Amino acid sequence: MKKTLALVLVVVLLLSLGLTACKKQEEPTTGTEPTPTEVAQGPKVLRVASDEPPALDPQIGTDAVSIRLNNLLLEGLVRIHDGKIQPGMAEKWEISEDGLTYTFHLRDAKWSDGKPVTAQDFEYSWRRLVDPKTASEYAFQGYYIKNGEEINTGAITDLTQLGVKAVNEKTFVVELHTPCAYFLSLAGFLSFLPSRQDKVEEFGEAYGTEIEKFVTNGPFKLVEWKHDDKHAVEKNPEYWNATAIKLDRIEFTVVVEAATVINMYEAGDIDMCGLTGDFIAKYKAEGKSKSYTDGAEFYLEVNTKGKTAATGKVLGNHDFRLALGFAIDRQALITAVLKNDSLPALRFVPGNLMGVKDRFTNEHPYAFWPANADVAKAKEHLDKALAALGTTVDKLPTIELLNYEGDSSRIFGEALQDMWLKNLGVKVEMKQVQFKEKLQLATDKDYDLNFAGWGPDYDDAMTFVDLFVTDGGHNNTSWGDKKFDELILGAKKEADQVKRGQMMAEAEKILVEAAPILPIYLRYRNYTQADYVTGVVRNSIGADPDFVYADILPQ
Amino acid sequence: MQISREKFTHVGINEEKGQAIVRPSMTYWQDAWRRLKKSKVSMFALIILILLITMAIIGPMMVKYSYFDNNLMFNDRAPSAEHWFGTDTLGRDLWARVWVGARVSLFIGIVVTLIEGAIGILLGGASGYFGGKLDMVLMRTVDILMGLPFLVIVVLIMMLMKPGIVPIIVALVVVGWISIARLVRGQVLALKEQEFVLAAKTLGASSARLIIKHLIPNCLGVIIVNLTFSIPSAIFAEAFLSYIGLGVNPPMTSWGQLAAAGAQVFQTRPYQMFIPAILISMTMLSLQLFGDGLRDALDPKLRK
Amino acid sequence: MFKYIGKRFLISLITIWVLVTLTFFLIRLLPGDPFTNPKITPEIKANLEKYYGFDKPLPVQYVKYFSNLLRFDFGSSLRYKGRTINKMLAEAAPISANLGIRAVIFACTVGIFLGIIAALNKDKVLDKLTIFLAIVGVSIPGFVMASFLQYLIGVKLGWLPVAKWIDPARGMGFKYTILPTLCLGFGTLAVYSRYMRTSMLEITGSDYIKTARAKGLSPIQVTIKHQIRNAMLPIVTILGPTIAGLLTGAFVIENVFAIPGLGRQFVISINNQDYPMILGLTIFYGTFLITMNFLTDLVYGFVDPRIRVSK
Repeated sequence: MKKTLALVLVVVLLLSLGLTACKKQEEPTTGTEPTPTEVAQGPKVLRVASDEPPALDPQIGTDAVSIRLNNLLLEGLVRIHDGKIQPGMAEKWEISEDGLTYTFHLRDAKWSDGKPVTAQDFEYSWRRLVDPKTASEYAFQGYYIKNGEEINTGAITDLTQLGVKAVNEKTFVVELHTPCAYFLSLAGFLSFLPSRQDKVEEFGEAYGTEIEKFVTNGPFKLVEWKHDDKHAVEKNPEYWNATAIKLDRIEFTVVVEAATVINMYEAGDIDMCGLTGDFIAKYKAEGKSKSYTDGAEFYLEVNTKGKTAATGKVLGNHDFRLALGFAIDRQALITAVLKNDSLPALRFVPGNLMGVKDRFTNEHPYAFWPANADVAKAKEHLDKALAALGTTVDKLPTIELLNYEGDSSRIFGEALQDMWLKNLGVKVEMKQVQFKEKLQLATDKDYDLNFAGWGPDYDDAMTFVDLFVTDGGHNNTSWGDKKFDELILGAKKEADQVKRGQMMAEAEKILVEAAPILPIYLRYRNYTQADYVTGVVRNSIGADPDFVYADILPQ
Repeated sequence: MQISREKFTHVGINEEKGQAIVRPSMTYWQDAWRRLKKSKVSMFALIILILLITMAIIGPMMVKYSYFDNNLMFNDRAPSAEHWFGTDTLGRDLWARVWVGARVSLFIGIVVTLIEGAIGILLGGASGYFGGKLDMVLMRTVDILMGLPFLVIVVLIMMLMKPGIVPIIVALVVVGWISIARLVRGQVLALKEQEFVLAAKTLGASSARLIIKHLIPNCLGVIIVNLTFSIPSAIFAEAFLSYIGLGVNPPMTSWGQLAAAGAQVFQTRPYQMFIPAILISMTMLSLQLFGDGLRDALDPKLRK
Repeated sequence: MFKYIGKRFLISLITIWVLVTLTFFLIRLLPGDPFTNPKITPEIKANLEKYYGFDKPLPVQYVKYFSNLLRFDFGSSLRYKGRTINKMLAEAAPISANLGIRAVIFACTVGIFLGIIAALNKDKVLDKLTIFLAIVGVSIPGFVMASFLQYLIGVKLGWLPVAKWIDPARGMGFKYTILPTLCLGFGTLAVYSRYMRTSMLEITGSDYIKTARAKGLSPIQVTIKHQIRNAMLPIVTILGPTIAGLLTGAFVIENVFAIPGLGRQFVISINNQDYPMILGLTIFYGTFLITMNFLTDLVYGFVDPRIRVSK
């Protein structure tokens, strides 16, 4: 009797646990509105969640966290803010007629240890970037400069051959090897920020790993750094444009888990947070969800030679690839699975990149893929493909979809599997692997379909279209097209910006219609921030978020 | 009171009757089963277990939806008359998915537990009983296996074998037998010094017989506790492996995967997590209760 | 005894060497490498490999690594460029150890106590309640448990901080430890209570307990003096790996509560194939584990004087 009683009790307890958990959801959320801890008169402190910066040394770092922090701590020749080029350490600059020579005139500015910022600092840093001994992962950013690639790959061993020169303390001249429309915006990028020769030589590898092993020249100074836990920056009163800087202090707390970040925001520990999944709808209902694109485009790479000869035959068929593409319901994937503001990719070049005067996609409007599945069209192409291959759907070899690790990737892949199965009757198997293994398999062309993404390196359509030149380092599809290659090569040499844009647009059409890649969506990230936070800029290129001119409003 | 002699008769010594066995002779296992049957809680737990296994077989057939059929227009719906356990992010029927997932999870849980149990008990028993060099080698192997990062072991097994359910089982067994082997070894170390072992030895029992017949039955308590815990840990380990793409092939699923996916949304859609979690708990609960009963039934000291 | 300890010490060193060597070569078999990155060109990769000495044959790298290791130099991280593994371990280990010790103490005391209560109240309500606790502890993943408590107690009720760890400089103290300790210890607690209960019951029927009763000791004296001590054996067995595991970092809990411990480093190093860090952590954890297992064998003798592993 007692045993049964105990058992009943256990079951009741178990159920009540479930019920209370369900019930909690229905209660209206109250008292979760974050309140600022600082009063209007006191110091203005912004508190945000971040991650540990892997490398603050500007020529070594590559990642979003280091870019974000160095945007505050260091300043290059120019500063990129909200997609616009502002003067930085350079007061003004001239560009030669042929677009190959840039002359920067530096202002009077100081490093955090009081020494003046000189043109020699930039000469040293830029040489250091392409020096193979530095082993910089982003050395390719320096390939635009004359002899940059040659030095980095060892063809030239004399560093002074690089096309940069400190004419005097205040004048810095850069020579490019071909004209580059977006070079000024590159000059504000992480890899081109200055590092100081004496300190780099003093600390060696450890440069930028501790506060005392780093010197800065930017609007903020690093004042606290507990590795993997937290770091903080404070306004630099010596900064040349200090009056434009509103915040006194920014506190970064290392939190990686998305749910914890949201919980900390709701508890009022931080002032802004990213939103995922169901939280987006919740904050949207309150009108507090904002979104921006981080510029990352996601698409399927089709290995036109296949993982095996059998799948290669099928995937090498143009109609078959089109059938796969038309069977995908891009909008449904975004609404049901991603649940955020991402946009279906109807073409390859994402809509956030600049053209000559306007967005590239506005200057060259184009849409090939439908937002929703076009089943009739997909079937039409499939029938054509099957006829050409002389086979039926049931006899097709099993096609493999290479996918990222993780629960959400799996669900995304399962949705694709179902769309192809339902709309075409084509069976696709999914293979999920860890990120590094996936990259390796893709590079080795050991896959059929690869769910991949690409983020822009600079604000220009070229960062996307030149990926797929025949046998290019990033082209894992085995696809190649002569006309396409000619257009890309031509665009790279073209000095006329309008013509250049047209060539890229034409190349994009060739690529999209040949369908070695099936664009799916342009990623948008949703986030929320407290009402009193203003001036935080979200970017797809460069520092994201950009806190430089952020402010906290008095309550 | 007078007792007359005539009331008694001499029966003499009946050799046959004296040696007769009145109660049926029972082996250890028969006796254990008899005692197990008497325990209502254990029987109840057994019924739940059988029910869960039955549902794993017939559950998916009870609804008109398949476990892989997406319906993106009808996703993330709470349980209703149409979808008894609701639908998931892709609009798949969770009732169908939960019972299909039960097949994978119960299979992996039970098979892994049985194999690692057998290996662990034998190696642990031998290690503790023989001691010396064998013990040293086995226990240092244990140290190394425990020290190697799990993911490294897993990836290597996956590289050597074709993906599927077998490498998952192998990976889980390779790391799973360790804890039980150490436990059994510890118990045997203590037991082998006790009097009944000496007695059995004196009576000429072989080492194998001693370990299997005398030492291991006396360790059954900890063995059973360990095995009941190893089923859920196998279920969750499978989910971890599927996270890095080493689990069952999508869209096939498992309890661990369902619970892990549900855990991401437990604040907004608690049913997606609680349904698989409660099923795992029910399996655990019935195993624990059944295990308790089994322990009592198998305990040689409680044998009457 | 000392001879045995000396011998075990030597064997432990060999075990660690085997562990290091195995890990060193096995991680090289993982697909991809530390420099696999979508943006990197083959030429840049070659520069990186040269810089880190990965262009040399593997045996040469091994000898180099090992000779550094003998000077207790674990090298520097490939992920957190320029930071030495020695320093990273020295920063993260005390935090993980701090959390781990709290969790071990919490789990052991409560777990053993509950196990004793359950055994003394066999088949009564209290006993069943501990089973329920064990089931919740084991069948709800740590991630869910932690997220749930974080949301309920941290956000909804606001009783305790949502995340982060002690920082005296910012006035963050004891209350930051409560939720992580509870969540980290809970699963272990459940397991301990079950082992303790079983092992207590096993001993109830033993001859020496009957003897103790017969010679007139009160039930409480029997429980305390004989039963508990002898029932500790399985606990001692699993305690070693538990302590090693809890003290050297628990990724899930550290991740949910954003605690800068070793667990975080371990996952980051695996994901980035940061070879020196993976090796450093493996050596650190391995040494800890091997020491704990060695201590376990010694402690057996104290729990049950008849046990002599050293024979």
